[in-house]
Amino acid sequence: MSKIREKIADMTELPKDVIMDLPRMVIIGNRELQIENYKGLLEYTQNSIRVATNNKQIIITGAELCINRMEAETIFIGGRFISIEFCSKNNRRA
Amino acid sequence: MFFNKIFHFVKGYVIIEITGFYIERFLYICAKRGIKLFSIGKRTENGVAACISISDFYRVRPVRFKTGTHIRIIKKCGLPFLIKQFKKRSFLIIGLLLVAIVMFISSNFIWSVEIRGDNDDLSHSVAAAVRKTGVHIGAYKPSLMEGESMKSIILNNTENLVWAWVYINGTKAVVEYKEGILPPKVVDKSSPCDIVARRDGLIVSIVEKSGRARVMKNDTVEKGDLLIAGTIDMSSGDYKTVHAIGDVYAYTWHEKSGEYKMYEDINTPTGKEKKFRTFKLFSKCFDLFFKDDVNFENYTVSEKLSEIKIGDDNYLGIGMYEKTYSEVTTKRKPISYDIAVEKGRNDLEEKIAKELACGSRLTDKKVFHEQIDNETVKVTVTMEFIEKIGEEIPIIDQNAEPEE
Repeated sequence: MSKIREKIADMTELPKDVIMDLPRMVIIGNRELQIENYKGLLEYTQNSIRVATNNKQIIITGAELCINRMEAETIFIGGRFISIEFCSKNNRRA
Repeated sequence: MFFNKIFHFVKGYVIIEITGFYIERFLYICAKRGIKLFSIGKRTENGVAACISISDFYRVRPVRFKTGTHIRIIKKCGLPFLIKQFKKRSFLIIGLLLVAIVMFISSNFIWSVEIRGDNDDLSHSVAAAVRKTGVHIGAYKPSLMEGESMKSIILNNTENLVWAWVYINGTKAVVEYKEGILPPKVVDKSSPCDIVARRDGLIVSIVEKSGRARVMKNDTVEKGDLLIAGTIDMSSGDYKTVHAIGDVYAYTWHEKSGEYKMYEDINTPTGKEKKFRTFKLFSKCFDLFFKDDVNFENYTVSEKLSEIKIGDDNYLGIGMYEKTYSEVTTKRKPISYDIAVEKGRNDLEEKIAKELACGSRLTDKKVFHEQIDNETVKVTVTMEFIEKIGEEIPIIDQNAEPEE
């Protein structure tokens, strides 16, 4: 189903985050991260934040991490990021 | 971000601590339900601290039951809570309002007048002229006349002024003026006079423009000797008097001597201080001490006036005057013989310079010095000048007819 959506998005040149329901991320340096269209907050500690999206999990690791603001569609994360990873839903990070 | 903080402050918010097992779920459900949580992340011992607006706080309860978390208010912040606090202290608010009203009313009056200028005598006459403009302590500011009018009154009522202006800085009126340079005095040629020696000397040159010279070049004169006579004998045996005018230059000798010590007194502060404060309210001063006794043997005094003002120059008429006495110990630092002589020479030269007429020219200078005892030097300075020694002395003779 996602492949069909991707093809439609390619053909119509419409944004993939709209067609495929993917998260849109805006990152400013390693200090601020804005994730639109997230589906849940799975883990929240000072050193890592795990955010659920449509088909992946986004794992942000770093120091002094904090959630600046949480809205229904968007989450604003601040701190000093070291890495941002994408994992499939079933794969849990060690 | 800054505007966000102001917005949250005005609306009011509470800092809550969320504890329990499903904190992340709680946060997510809140977000989905439109409950705005911000600044999530100040970790506490048991959970997470977050900020939430007052209106959203009451919507959190169902989420709390659903997720099984516990919520505790850590701090209440913002304007609504401040207002609630002050509602209980109505007298404080009334007091603050009264102070504000008094300040507002009193700021419409002049509470101090400052005259800024170099000449003290002139400052007194300027102060008198300023009073005529209506600027005085207690004057109502809106009733004051325009700057140009005040300027013309001050200039018309004070001699030797070229410019003046009154600046109204809050409750303080600052008057600045510029002193004019007086034109040279017009010689009154109708009054007869002689020119006599102002001091002893040896005549170098004499040029008489009016009157008759009574001395010649290389003559020695003493103080008070007649140099140019204003009385002229006529061939008819009669005489007439004129206003004697002329330049008489002579060698003059000035000698000064003094004793100077071969040490310097150096004051070192001990750190002990006594401060006497005076509270200044508008034009009144209130001492904040009972006795101003200073027990220090040696001390230095410093004065400081701090005034409350808005911006750079808007004085409110409230201030604190502080006089500080700092104890010092005086130690003698020895100086060399040459330095003591040099110090004495400079001092004596300054004293001689005060005695000289304008335009004097130095021709010779001698410095003598001798040691009187272990710590005293006697310095004598002799200076030779060519200077104008003529001085006008009026002729008092009722029978004489002045020359026309």
